[in-house]
Amino acid sequence: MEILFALITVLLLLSFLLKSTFLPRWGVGVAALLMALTVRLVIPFLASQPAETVNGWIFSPDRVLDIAVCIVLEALLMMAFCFSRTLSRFRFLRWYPGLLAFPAVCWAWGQLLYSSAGIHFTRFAIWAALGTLVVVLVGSWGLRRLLPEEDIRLEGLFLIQLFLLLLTIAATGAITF
Amino acid sequence: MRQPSKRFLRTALMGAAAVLLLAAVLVFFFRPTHILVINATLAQQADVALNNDSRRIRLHVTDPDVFAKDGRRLYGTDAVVIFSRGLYLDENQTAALEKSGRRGVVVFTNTLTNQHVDIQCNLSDEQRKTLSDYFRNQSAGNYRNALRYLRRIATPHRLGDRDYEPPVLLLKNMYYHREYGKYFPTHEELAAYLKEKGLYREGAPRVLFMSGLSFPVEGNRAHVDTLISRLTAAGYNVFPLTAEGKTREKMIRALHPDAIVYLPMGRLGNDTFIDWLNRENIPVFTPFPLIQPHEEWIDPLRPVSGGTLTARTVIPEIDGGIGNYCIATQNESPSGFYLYTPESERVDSFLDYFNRYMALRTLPNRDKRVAIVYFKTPGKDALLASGMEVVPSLYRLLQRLLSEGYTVSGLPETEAAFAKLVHREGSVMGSYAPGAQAEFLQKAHPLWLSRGQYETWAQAVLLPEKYQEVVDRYGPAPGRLLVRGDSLAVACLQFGNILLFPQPRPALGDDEFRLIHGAGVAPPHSYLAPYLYMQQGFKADALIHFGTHGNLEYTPGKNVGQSRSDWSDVLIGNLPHFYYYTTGNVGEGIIAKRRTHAALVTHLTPPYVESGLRQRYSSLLSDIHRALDADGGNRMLGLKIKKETVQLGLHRDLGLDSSLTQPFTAAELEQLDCFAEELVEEKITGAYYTLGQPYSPRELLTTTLAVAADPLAYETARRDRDAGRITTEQLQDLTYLRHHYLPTARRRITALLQNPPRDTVGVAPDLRPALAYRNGLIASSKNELDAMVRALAGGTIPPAPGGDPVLNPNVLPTGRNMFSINAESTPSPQAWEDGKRLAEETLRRYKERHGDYPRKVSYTFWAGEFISTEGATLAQAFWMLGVEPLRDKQGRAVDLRLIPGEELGRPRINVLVQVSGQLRDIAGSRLRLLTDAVKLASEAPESGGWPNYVASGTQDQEKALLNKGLSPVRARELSTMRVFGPLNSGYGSGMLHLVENSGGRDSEEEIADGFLNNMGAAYGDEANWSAYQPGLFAAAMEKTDVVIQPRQSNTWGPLSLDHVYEFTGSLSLAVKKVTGREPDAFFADYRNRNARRLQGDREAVAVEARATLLNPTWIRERMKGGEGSAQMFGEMFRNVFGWNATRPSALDPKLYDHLYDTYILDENHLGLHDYLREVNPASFQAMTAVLLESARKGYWKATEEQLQTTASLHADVTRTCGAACTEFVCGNQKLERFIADNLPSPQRASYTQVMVAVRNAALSDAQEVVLKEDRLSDPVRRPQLIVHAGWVGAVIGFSLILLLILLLRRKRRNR
Repeated sequence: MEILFALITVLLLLSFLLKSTFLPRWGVGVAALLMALTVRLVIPFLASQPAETVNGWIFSPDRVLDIAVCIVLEALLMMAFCFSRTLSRFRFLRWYPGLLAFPAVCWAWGQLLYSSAGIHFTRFAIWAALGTLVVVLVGSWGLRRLLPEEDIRLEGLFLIQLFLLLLTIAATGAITF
Repeated sequence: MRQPSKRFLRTALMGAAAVLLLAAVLVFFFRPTHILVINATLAQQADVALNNDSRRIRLHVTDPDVFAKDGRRLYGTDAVVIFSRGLYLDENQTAALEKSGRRGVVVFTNTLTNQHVDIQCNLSDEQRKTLSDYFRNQSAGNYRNALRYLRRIATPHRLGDRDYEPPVLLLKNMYYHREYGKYFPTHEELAAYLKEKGLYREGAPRVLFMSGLSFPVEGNRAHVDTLISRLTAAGYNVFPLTAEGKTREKMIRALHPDAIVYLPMGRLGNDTFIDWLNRENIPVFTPFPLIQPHEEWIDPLRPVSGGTLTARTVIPEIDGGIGNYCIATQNESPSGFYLYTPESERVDSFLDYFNRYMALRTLPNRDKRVAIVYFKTPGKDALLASGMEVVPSLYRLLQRLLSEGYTVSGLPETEAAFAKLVHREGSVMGSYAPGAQAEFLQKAHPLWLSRGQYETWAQAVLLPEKYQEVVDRYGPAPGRLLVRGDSLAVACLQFGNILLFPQPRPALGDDEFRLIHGAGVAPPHSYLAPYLYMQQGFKADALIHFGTHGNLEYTPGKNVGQSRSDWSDVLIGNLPHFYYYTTGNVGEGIIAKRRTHAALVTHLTPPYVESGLRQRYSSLLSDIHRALDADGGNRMLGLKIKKETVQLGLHRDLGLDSSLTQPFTAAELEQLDCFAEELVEEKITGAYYTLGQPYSPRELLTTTLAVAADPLAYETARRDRDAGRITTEQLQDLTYLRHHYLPTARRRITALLQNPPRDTVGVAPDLRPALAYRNGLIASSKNELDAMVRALAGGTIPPAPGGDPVLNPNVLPTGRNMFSINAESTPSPQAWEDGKRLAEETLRRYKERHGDYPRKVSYTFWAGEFISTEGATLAQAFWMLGVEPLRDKQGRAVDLRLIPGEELGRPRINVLVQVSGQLRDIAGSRLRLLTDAVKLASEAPESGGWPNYVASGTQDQEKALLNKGLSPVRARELSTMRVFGPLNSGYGSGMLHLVENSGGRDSEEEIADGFLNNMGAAYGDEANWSAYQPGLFAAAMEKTDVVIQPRQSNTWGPLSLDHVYEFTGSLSLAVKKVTGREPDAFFADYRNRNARRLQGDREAVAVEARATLLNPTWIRERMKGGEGSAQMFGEMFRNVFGWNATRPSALDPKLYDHLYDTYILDENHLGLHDYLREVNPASFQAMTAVLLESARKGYWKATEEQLQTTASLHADVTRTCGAACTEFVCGNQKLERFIADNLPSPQRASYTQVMVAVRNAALSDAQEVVLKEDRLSDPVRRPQLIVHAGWVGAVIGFSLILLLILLLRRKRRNR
């Protein structure tokens, strides 16, 4: 279950980065700032919670199902955006970068926090936020450079959503059985 | 839209200007004056604030900590009043105040002695003097007028409430009463006033009442007024006094009261004055108000510690104070200020105690009813008291009471008859032996209490919720032990107006386990019954606990200032309580005193006797000295020494080789020399002491030698060092002193004492102390009984320090009330020097053996050692960390300095500390200071090229706690916890029970697990005081390389005191479980106050074994004693077992064989078997049971012959003397089967029959204690898995990304 979750996290982040390449530059900046701010605010909370409590809550069967539903919904939204060239009604989805990446990145930093002793919590939160900002900005720019063609990026985005759906089904299957 | 007209704008502007002007005028003339008060105590804050009757004066109070964080408090302030007592301001705070002064703020410091803080701004000399007069003459009127005066001078332009009256100067030393403004310079004037008011009773006892220097403040003194009123209503003439110094003493002498009630703040007087009080037989009662709210006082997990403990309890003890009840708390009133609130139930209790104590002065002895509680292990073993023969001592006391006119009718004519009666009627029963219970009920004549009677008394004495705890646990009365129908039997004896009863077991069956594990378990009905009977049925006038020590003082609860919720308070009732206690055990004595409102009466230790080993080792020593002089040039001599050493087995004790073809090296010879010297000079104690029986002339000589010879030798050597005849290193070398100075010192003292002069004229000055010690010893035996008789007559018991006479001769004469030390001043300067030296010695030894520094050293803190050495072991811990305590002007260690790495010259070594409950109670502030030191050392960078094991240890501990599933914040908080002790602020580790109940456990690992659980409560800081976190203690224990155990007493050693293996052995076992490696273990030996040193555990155990258990001289001495002395044999055997269970490497593998030869075969022909059978067969059974259990467990690799001989002996004693039913004998069915298996058939049948009868197989649910432990399950290590999962996820994720990119690029190319 933990491995699946880690995979899903990585894909959500990748989806976010890829999706952000369709935003104007200032939009990427805003998204990056928002994500960094979220990380900065959430990490102190995570520091005051035992790892077991946090992960226990996330991996509880009810929660996994809820998360799966959210992933499916978001994946559908992303897929719909992939067809927005032809279906103009979905063009507004350009402004939706993917919200699930926010808790995903917080969880990822949280795991690093739980495995590190002797660190300064506030400093860690600040560096994590800065790191997130840099990764989003650089990642988005990097993907734009690597894959300058929009349709290729759209195709990539679509494939990622497919992977996410598959992994989500696997995750729900894991808690069922 | 129409533009506003210019006229309108003009009007609006003018209106606004007018409003502003008006506002400015109002503010200028009518704004309240804001006065900030800094560092007033809560009581003073209330007094100042509640006497402010002006709405134009706003008072703000702050303490220095808040002021430091929030300098904005100064903004908007017009005047500042600083109470400088105990205040330290840093640069920023001082600068902020001075800056305010430059802005025109009036700053006044009310200072008496604090030279650091004396900030005065914008005040003329006259104004300053006026303010000083107001604040130093503390009255309601002066406070009121002080505030108005400040308004006048700080804000002279402000209108309203500017009138004030000049300061009223109070007398510095005066009598007062409840009416404000009435003060009297002499007691005669007060008496006249009281007569005028109708409050004076002719002929009534005079009670002097004192309440510190801050009274009589008019206002916040409800508890003072309550006590004055209640004492007056009780019929006393009360003389409240406030006075200082010599004048105080003069006024008290002039009054010559019958008693003093002193709410303590500092010493009542100097030692001379205290001596006068004792000579005049004026008891001093010291109830106290607590500067804590009611909820904190009631909370048993919040101890009274630090300065409060020192001021309210420790200092009054030095004055010989008694009745240390907490009679008031300080609570927030609706006005927001803290007012003293009398705790009415406690005031009632104190008054009751006071009245009863004073009544003893007038009640005729023949009418006095005295209850005496003694201690006994279950079954047929001896009455117990450390170092004392209880039965003859009790008998002597009763005889003395009889001679003093007490009604002691029916006392047997002989001591033997008395002993028989006590054993038959006054037994203690264990729940594991129902058969023995039945036998007791049949043959003895216990007191029967009906259920109704018992419950009536319980309701009268106990709080309903406390009694309900008992019922919830043990069911309704009468319970399960010693019952018949609806009645409960109480084992006791009564001789006229004297009641004797044994203290019962404080828990039963499984609960015994829980109680000694620190759970707050209520005692059973069988425990409450005798105490309730004593109070309500027998109606005792006074209570005596007889000997060291009982268990009532170890029931869970507060360390000081009990309430009715504490068993140790409520079962004593408010009776005048006296406790015979060995002078050798000050640590536990202090706890008994504080938790049961006892006045201690010390008694002597057993006499010190010659070990008789000189003859055995003299030729070896002589050979060693010759060999050392020959410097390796005499090989034949060297081989001879080796042969003799191996024959004696000394090589095993010292870890030397046994090859007979190779002589020892010079270093090994020196080691051997030191060891042999120690054996020869080891101070051993003889037969147990009997109260009131002086030492024999020979014992007097040997004891005086033990006390006086070492100091004389040291003094002589020191003079030689000062004169350049020897070096400082030689002075510090104990072996050198023993060779060159001790024999002469002994000869001189022996010559003097064989013909002691009447006075010291003509005696050399350096010999006079020896005479004084001798006289002190002689005086002691009479003094002990005199003191108790005097106490029972409502008199005083003079105070004295504690400790054995060798360590501290000032404890002589005994018959006095022990006091402790001021923990705030520890470690003392001397202790600091000793601690540093011993810490460095630890590191040197470890490095020598292992080639590197240890990473962590563990220390045990005990109360007795702490008091006797003034914190030497604490000092060791500080020095290991590389932190030095800093002292204030009063010598208190209040702050810390990190010693730089370059100065330290070595790594910072991590520490782990385990504390006894007793130490925790008396020195809690030191544990917090030590934790601060750990935090400081953890943050220190590596410097001087040395690693910082404290920092790395803290990080490791945090990591371990993260892995246990704690939050990072919580793991961080607990990462600096290094001080651990018993759970729930309890006192027991539970290890003794766990170890000795070996039939109920399968492996030693259970002992380690039990220890980790039971001693795993953290006592590091306020926030985590007594916090228990599973896994924390184990995490803190990681990488422990050394364990240090202190020993300061010359009356016990590792084999004679069970607590030594309980702490050191159990800790060592736990460390081994956690780290996989047994740590090195040393004793920090403080027994010689001039030569404190470190000694290896194996060496220390070997010295004691050879000097006592295996020493025919010692055995013969002990055989002169009665059942108490004989009981010690069994106890020492149990302790040997305990060491084997926990740290077998500390023992000689041959020890059991030697014990077998000495005690089972009696190879020295001492008549041991006959002696033990006659005097204490229970001890004999315990000894043989221990040997057999040791064999069963595999500790002793006994031969078949040894097993059969021992089993046969055990069975024979059991058959002829009856089963003793101590736990070892009757509580272990596996042992019983093992014994039976090693017996020949006829003996097997009879043995089995006896044991079955005792146990009564039908009641199988009351058999051996089943050990239940909280199994701590390790939490699932999710974080680690997720990190791993994260890495896996990352790898797969990146692979997917790569795949994606490749796919898309290929697509692009194809396009």
